[in-house]
Parts: sequence; C-alpha cells; structure tokens
Amino acid sequence: MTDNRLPSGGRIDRSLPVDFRFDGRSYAGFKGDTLASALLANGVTLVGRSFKYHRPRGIISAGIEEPNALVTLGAGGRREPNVPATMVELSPGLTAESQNRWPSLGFDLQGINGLFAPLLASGFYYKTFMGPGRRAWMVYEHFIRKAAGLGMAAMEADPDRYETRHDFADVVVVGAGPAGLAAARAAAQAGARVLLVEQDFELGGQMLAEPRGQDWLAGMLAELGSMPGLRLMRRTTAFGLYDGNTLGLLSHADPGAKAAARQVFTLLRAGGIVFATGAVERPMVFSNNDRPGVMLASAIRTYLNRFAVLPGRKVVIGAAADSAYRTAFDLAANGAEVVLADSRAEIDPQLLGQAVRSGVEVHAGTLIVKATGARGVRAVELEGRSGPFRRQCDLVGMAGGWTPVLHLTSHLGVKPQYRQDIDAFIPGGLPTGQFAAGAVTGAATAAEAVRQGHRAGSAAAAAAGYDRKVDAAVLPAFEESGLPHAVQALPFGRKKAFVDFQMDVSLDDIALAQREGYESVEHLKRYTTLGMGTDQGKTSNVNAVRAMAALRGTPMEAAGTTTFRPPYAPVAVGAIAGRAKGHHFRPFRRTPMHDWHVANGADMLEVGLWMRPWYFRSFGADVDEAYVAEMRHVRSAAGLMDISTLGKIAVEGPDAATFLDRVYANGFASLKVGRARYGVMLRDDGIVLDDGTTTRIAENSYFMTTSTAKAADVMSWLEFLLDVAWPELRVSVTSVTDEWAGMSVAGPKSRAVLAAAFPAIDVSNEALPHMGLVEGTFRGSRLRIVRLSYSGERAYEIYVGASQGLAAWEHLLAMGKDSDLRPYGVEALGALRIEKGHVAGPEIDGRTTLADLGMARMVAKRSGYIGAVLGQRPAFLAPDRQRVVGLECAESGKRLRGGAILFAPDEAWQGHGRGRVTSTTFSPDIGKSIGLGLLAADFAGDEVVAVYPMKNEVVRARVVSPVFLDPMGERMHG
Amino acid sequence: MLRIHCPCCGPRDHDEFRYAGDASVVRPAHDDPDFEAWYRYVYVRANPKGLHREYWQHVHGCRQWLVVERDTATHTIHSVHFAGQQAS
Amino acid sequence: MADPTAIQGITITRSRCPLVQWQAWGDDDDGFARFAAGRLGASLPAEVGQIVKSDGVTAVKIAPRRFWLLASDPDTVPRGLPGTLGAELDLGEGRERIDIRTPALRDVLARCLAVDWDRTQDRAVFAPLHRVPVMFTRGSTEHGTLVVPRTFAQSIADWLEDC
Repeated sequence: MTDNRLPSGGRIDRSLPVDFRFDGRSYAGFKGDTLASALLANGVTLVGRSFKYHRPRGIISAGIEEPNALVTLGAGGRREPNVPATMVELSPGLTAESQNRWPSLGFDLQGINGLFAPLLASGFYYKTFMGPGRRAWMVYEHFIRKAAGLGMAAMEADPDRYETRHDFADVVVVGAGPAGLAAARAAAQAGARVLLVEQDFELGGQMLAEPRGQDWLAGMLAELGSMPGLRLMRRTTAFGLYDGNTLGLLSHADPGAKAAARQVFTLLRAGGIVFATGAVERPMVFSNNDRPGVMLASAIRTYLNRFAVLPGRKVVIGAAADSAYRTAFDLAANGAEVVLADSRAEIDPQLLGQAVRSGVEVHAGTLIVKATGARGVRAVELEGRSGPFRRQCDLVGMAGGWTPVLHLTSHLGVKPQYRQDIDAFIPGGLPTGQFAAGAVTGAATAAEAVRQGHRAGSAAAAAAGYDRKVDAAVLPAFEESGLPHAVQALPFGRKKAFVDFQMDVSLDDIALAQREGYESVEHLKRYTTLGMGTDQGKTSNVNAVRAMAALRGTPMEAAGTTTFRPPYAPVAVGAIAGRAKGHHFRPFRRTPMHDWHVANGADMLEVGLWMRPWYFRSFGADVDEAYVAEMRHVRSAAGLMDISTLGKIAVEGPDAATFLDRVYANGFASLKVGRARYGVMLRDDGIVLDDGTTTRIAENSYFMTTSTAKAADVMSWLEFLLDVAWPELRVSVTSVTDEWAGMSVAGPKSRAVLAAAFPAIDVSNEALPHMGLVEGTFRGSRLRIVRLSYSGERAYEIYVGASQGLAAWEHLLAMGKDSDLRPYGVEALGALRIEKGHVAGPEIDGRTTLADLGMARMVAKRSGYIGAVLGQRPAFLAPDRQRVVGLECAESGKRLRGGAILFAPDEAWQGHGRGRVTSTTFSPDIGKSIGLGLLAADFAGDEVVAVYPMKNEVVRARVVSPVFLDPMGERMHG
Repeated sequence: MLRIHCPCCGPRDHDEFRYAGDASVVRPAHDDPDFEAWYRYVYVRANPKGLHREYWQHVHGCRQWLVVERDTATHTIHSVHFAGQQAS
Repeated sequence: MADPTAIQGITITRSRCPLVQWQAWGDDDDGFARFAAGRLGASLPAEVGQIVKSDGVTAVKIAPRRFWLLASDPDTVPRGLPGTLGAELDLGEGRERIDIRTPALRDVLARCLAVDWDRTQDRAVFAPLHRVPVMFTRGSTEHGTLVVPRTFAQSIADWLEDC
C-alpha cells in the first residue's frame, strides 16, 4: 500500500483518524477527507470499470462532475449505488464497494467486452442486435440487461428517514466559492435575509485548493459567521430552478449527526437568486485518456492542497489554459517532477519564468497524443514542435479549459450563450431577480469572482428591496493570470480518445454518429448516449459539442447545447416524498361517527379523502353478501346511515331566494320556510353539474346539500357567481360540511324510531310531511330533521351539531332497538337508489342533460337559470340522444356490469354502440341483477345486449322503467 | 412553482389556488336569452401566446376570486387583482 | 422503537373552537363598523390576517368583508348582527383548535406549512397544512395555534405527533 499523504498541510483534521473499508479491505484516512482523497492517499488508483467496455478506471476529479469513481455505499435497505467517491464525506465505519465488475475490480471478466469494441459502437443496440427474426431481441435483451447499468439498487425497504421542508429567503446564493461568499456578505450587509447554499461540507469552493487564499477565506468565513441575517446550508445541492424564483434543494445528512434525516428536500422560495456555481475543468482528448492516473489538473491541485495527497511523483500535464501552471508549480513545490505540454504556441512570459525557477519542464505548442499503461498510466507520447517524443510518468493532468456550471440558469429555458474569447458557454440573459457571478460567467481569477459576487449580491438585495450601505468588497491579495484558453484541436482518427468517460463514448463514436446522419446535438446525445449518465455530461458536453461542430464545419454558437433539465444531481425519491408516505400519504377525513363504525364491524372504504363504512360485517362476511342483506333490512324495517360527508352550504341573506332561483334549474323562489326541495344545478353549457336538496330554514336562511364528490366544486362555483357575476346580490355562502353530523333513518319503521328518539318533537305525517323540516335541540345542540328519501322508503335526514353527532347516533340506535334499527353502509346506499331510478354520480357524469336524465319537465316553464340557453341547443334535443333507462338482466346466473356498451341484439359490436350501463346492483326484491343505463332515445325494441369486451362478457338485458319498485312512490309518502 | 401575490394574503404558491380560465370573456346577464352571447362566453377563447388575463381562486386562503395577468410563454405574472374590482 | 429523528418535546392539545362568522354586505360599511365596535369593545381588524383581541374575544379578518370571532367560552362570542348590515353564522361546531408547544415550532411548521415564518408574528395566516386549509397563529417562537376543520383534525394531529 503506497502512502501518498504528505506529512503536513491540507485542511484535513489529522487529530481525527477515520477507518473505512473499500472492496473489503481496510484503510485509514482523516476527518475532512472524501472517500476519493482517502483512497488516493492510500495509493488506490483503480476504482471502477467503465460502463460498456469495462476498461479500468480511476478518479479523475475532485467534485460532483466525477464520471468514473462511482461506488455503492451501505447494505440492505440502506444500499445506495452510483455515489461519486469524490462526494462522500469520510466517516467512521464507512463501507464502500466498487461497481460494474465481476468477480472483482482487478480481475473483471467483462473486460472481454473490450475485444468486441467495434460491435459496441454508437447505437449498437440498433445495429448489432438486429435479428435473426423479431424474437431474437428478447434473447439479446436478457443478456444486455444483465451486463448493463452500473450499481445495483436496494431490494429491501429503506428504513431511513427523509424530510421535506418549505423555506423562504430574500436572497439565495448558490455556491460558497469566492463569488458566492462575496455575494452573501454584500446581500446580508444590505439587510436582506440571505441563505447561502453549498454542495460541499466545507465552504470556499476553489479557495479550498488555493494556498495563497487561506487567509482571505478564513477572514470571510469569520465575518459571515457573525452576520445575523445570514443562514448557511452545507452539504446542500441546488438541483433545480423553477418558476417564481423557486429552487429545489437537496441536503445530505452530516455523517456525524446521529439523528439526522438521510436526505432533506427543501422547496425554497427566493426573492432574488445569485448563481455562483463556478466552473468545471475540461479533460483533454487523447488516446487512452481514461487510464487510471489521468486526472483533471485542477483536481490534482485540490488533492494536493486541500487533502495533502500527492497522487504521483512524475507528472505530465497537458494544458490549454494558464490554470494548469498553478498545479504544476504546487506539484513541483512538493517534490514532484513536472513536465507541462502547453498546446498554445505563445505562453505568458511570467509563467515561463516561474516555471524555470520551479524546475517545471515546459513545451509550447505541444499536445499529449496517447497514454500508455494498462491498469495505470506509465508513460505518455507527445507531439511537439520538433516532432514526437515520450515521457515516463505515473500521473497525468488535463487542463482543457473551463466549463461554467450554468445548468440552473438554463432550467427555465434561458439558452446559454457562447463566448468565443473564453471558448465557453455562459449563462444567457437572466430574468429579473436572477444574477450570475464568478467562474460561471467566465471570470478567470478569484479577485474577479469576488468583485462580481459583491456586485451581484448587492443587486439581488436591492431587487428584493434592501439597500442598506454595503462595505467595499474584500479582495484576495494574490496575483493570478487568467485567460485565454486555447481551443483544443480534437484528434479525430485516434482510437479510444474518450469524450464521455461514464458512458464510454469516444471521438470515434461521435464521428460515426455524424456519418450516420445524427447531426443535431439532441440526436447526437441520444444516439451515442453521450451526456446521459449520472454525471449528465458535466465533463463531456462541451468537448462533444466541439467535436460535432468540427465534424459539421459549423461554429460553436450554431451547434448549441442540449436542454438542461432538473435535477442537476441525483435526488432520492424518498426525499421528494418525505414523510408523506403510507399512513401519511394524504390526509384522511373522518365523520363524527367514524370511531363507532370501526368499533362496530364496519369495513371502511376510502371515498376521496373521506373514510366511510362500506358495509357492516354483521350483515355478511363480504360486501356482496352484506349489501343485499342491508338492502332487505332497510326495505323491511329501518336502517341508519351516516351521511355526514354530504356537502353542506349555508346560504344567507336578503337575496338568497333570488340567488337560488338562478343557480338551480328548477325554481326556488317559491320554496316556503320549513320546506325542502330537490334541486339540480346545470353548468353554463347546459350539462348537469350536481343535484342536492335545499331546505329553507328561515326567511333569509337556506341549508343546501350537495353530493359528496361535488361539494368543493359547487362551493367554488357559488363563490364565483357572488364574487364576479352578481356582486350586487346580498348573499353569503359558507361551507358548513363540518358543522353538522348527518344521519338518515330510512324504512317502514323510521317514524317509530324518530318518535322514540325525539319525544318532544311532533314527527307525525301532518307536522312533518314529505319534504318538511322541523327544528329542535339535542343535548343543547341545534337539531334539524328534514324528511327526505334517497332510498324510496319513508326516510328522515337528521342533522345535529358535530360535537353531538356520536351521541345522537348512539341515541337513535338505542331508541330504535324496538324497531330493529341497524346501521348500513355506502354499498347498500348506492344500491337502494338504483331500484328507485334515482340518478347519481354515474349518471351525472359531466355529459348528461336534464332531458337525458328524464327531468326535462323540471324546467318546462322556466328561464333565467344557469344553463338555460345552451341547455336548449339542438344537439341536446336530437332523437338519438341517450336517455336514462332501467335494465334488467335476462340471463340467470349472469350480472350486468357498469360500463358495458349496449347494442341491439342483432347488431355488430362496432363503434360506440347505442348506449352504456351506468349503475348496477342485485335487487333482492326483484331477484335479479338490475341497473340504470343511458340508451339512444330512438332505440326501437326492449331487448339489448350489454357487451364488456375486457372480460369477454355478453349479457342479454330487458329495457324497463328505471323505477323498479313502488312506481307511485307510496312508500315514502304518508 | 408559480408565486401568486394574493392582494390580501401576500405571495403564495400556485397550488393554494384553483385555476378557472379566461377572465377576459364577457359573461352575459343571467337572463340574457342570446344564444350567440352564451356560446361565445362558454366556448370561444383567444388562447394567446403572451399576456393572458385569467381567474384564479385562492381556495386554501381567503377564497377570493382573483384576476391574474400571466404571460403564457414565460409564466411571469404581471398583475393580480380582486376579480370583483375588475368587473366593470 | 421511537423515531430517532422525531422532534423531542412536542405537546399537542386539542380543544373545541367556539366561533361566529360575520359577513358584511358592503353597502353600509360604517354602520357595520359601528355595530361591530359596539359588540366587540374595539374596532375590527382593518387588514386580512390582522388580529384584534378584546375581552376574551379574538377577532380576525379572514377575507375583505368577512370576520371570525373566536373565544374559549362560547357564551362570550358576540352575536346579533342585524340582517341589514350582514350575515351572521355560528361556526362553533365545525372546527377544532390544536395548540402546539415545542421549542422546535419553526422546524415543525417548515415541514408542512408553506408560510414564511418571519411573516407570522402576531398575524393569522390562512394556508394549507398537508393539503388541509387551516388558520395558523403564533404568539411566540414556541407556541402556535391551528384552527382546523373538524373532520381533518385527527389526521392533522396524527401528522404533528409523528413529527
């Protein structure tokens, strides 16, 4: 085991050693290391196998852009695949495994794929695995699936906790490098509430790798730490920008914090946003540039200065930018032999002078063309002004220029702009309230980043309304050289010159795709899979666009970039869900009698957000047995039903009668105090919206009920009419669904039950006729009894204050014992009304009119109600318009099914048929399966077939009156 | 997440509101018998790319009906008023 | 096993919520204001979300012309608004009051209420909590009150207790 750790220096805490395991072996590192830096410190350079070709791979970066060093952390339900080792904070007991290799990293049998490379080129799944025959793909697919992918997901439930949060800030600064720190300082000084968000566990960005910037960094952090209006979120990635200046943030747990949620998703609403997201270095493209030991030059510098790791002793750096020299000088200062191949012909004389003093061998106008070595780089071949030459090495740095991390700025569709002078795409024109600063805009020095950050922070605070005086920016006190990059000349024709490391896409693949006609960048991406890995092309996109532009002969501006979409980095689904899963997935709505139902044998059903009793087990072992028994009981004795879920609306005011008269299709102006009326509401287009009952409680006070399902819609509709359409009406509408517990007593013995339960109230037929109201009190609470029937039996709806709902329910059951009063559920409730031809949701489905439902007479003499005009359009009066009918199953042992299409017996089953079945039930009284349906009004004959293709069912049925029982309605009168 | 500045509740997430379509159409009087007027009100829409005046109801807050001027291409909200005040 | 990330030390108390709603018609705002001041002993709040407390009654303006009058004792809630000035409705059965006491109140609310904490001091905020419309008020950083629809109260209490 090599020891690459320097004896001193770095920002690691040498007083806190940390043990960890990688691929079954134990290693040691320090607090402040990442898994990547600790592995490099221990001389581990082989960390993975590439996606397609299984080529040996090492760590190339020191950040989230890492394409190669993907590991799996944890075990069992906590297993997490595809985690970049560069982003893993080292913590005691950490266990990591490499991926995509079998049986081991060192001896990976799938490395044989390399021999088949020509068959695995771009788009190979469309070309290599074609035939013979169509079935062949299913065979290939089985093997490809086994070979595909990187890490493996967990198969067990995840026991960890995840959280979601809402947060607000006046100014959000994304990124805590020099620009971000300066922006946060300025904005906080201006008086804004600032949130500074940083992906890393340490603040500082590029300054963490800059020995000359440590004083500046310490000073800034100390100052920021003392500002009250400034909050910091470390280990937090801003992964998406959304409308309204909203950001999606993902925070990872501090491994030292025992009780933390594993991931926290924050939806952050910001007044202003400063994007200080920095830039990522580009690789150089040459043959075998993917060998372990070939790294980004800036990453080498980070490992050296931040983590005190010297990853090699003989280093060759391929450079297209001045930033490479910083790495070269720092390496030389730590005893490494450095050769720098600068692709540019002209080099800054100051840099050359310093190179000489440091002992760095510089070659101008020189490119690395190939790396050699199998499991790790051993030498490079170069091409210079005087021809080719070779250098031995154990570490290669690539400094191909800088790519601004502008993803967030582009998530809402702002197209990046290409800047020729820095050979980079920078953010496009940002909308109000958004600002960019630092390397993301192309700034090449820390001082420039600080200046920009300071301006952006002040501007963002001002845009949010905060303009207290801000001190001048504090600039870092060291010199740096900046631009420009050289534009890399891409070595077309060289083999295994990789552009996208993670997806194993080389320059050859891109050239092949272009030859095959995939010219647009979106096609190139999808055909080669370039940029589609977990790193989303962070180190490859620009080189790929350059390659494409070069092949097509178009300038970079015209080539464009692919669309950037959230998330910038992977987000666990668990984090989006947070605690809203299982029992807490959505809220539950319970009636006042809920607990009673559960304790007394009700099988509960979710109806929207409500919990309702489906059926009671005392009537039968399952719903099919129970509901029929419940129906029989209601029609022969008395049943008690919890109807608290109905929408209830209080309509108050001197103009209430006028209002209701317009809102309902049938008239309400004539409704007297103490009386109820069934009402139907239409939409403006003449289609039925909902039905319900409204009772006049007092001169200017009405009690409206709606269906459970439509309660919210009707409420909003009434509010719209009063707010917008008829503001002159003095009417107030308020939802009172939760105010009242509702229960109905239905059946031949219902009156006896009421008389026993409320002896002080006259419930005789004279005092309380059908559609009548009486009021009273129950245990000090308001009581309303309205005589209404949904089942066709004599029935009463009893409303009492919700706090007394349970007491009233139990009281009725106790007083109703002699009448054999028993509770029943919603299955039977729905079935009883079908026997009586009462239309409900399945018939009022947003497509039917009053005439369709058999209620045309309701509006025969009326006008001025909502839906009046469009409800009379010719199409609604057409002779083949479908109307409500009754259906009786004509085959014993079979049943009708809702949704079945109706045809004439001799018709071919094509098209939409003549109608459909809407509601069905078994009728104990008739002894058959019956239903309601919609059937073309001009259908001749009384026989149909109901066809249900998905179950291959065909059932003959008779067309009958929808009122199956008691056609004169005698049971509910008298 | 659209942020809508309710005139009485302040800036809120759009999922506190219920969207209700074009607010620039003229609703006929309740007893207007003109078929054309109702047809245009219910069915005919301009569907602009750009500024759109539309109804939103703040159902999870004050329950007021609002008229919002939103750019359909960029989602930028230019103004929010109580619908009652807008009706002329 | 206790949830290790659950917030320690949270107390949830549920109680009834006597409440009367007043809606002004708007054609006699002065008359309405005078009547209200007489009954309440103080002027009604001027802005939506504003709170006025007087004699054990808390008055909240919940919409441009709508007010809620809350009290712990149902008998002290003002009543008797004339029909010429507006509509009065007793809403004392339909809501529950949930009091939350915890030093981590801000954190608890951040998990379920999308409101800017810094804008909640001495204001009534109407917002959805886990998709249920609630009214939230707080007098301190450790004690907050929710007024929630009765049929959702158990669901919300479960959510808060699992926090």
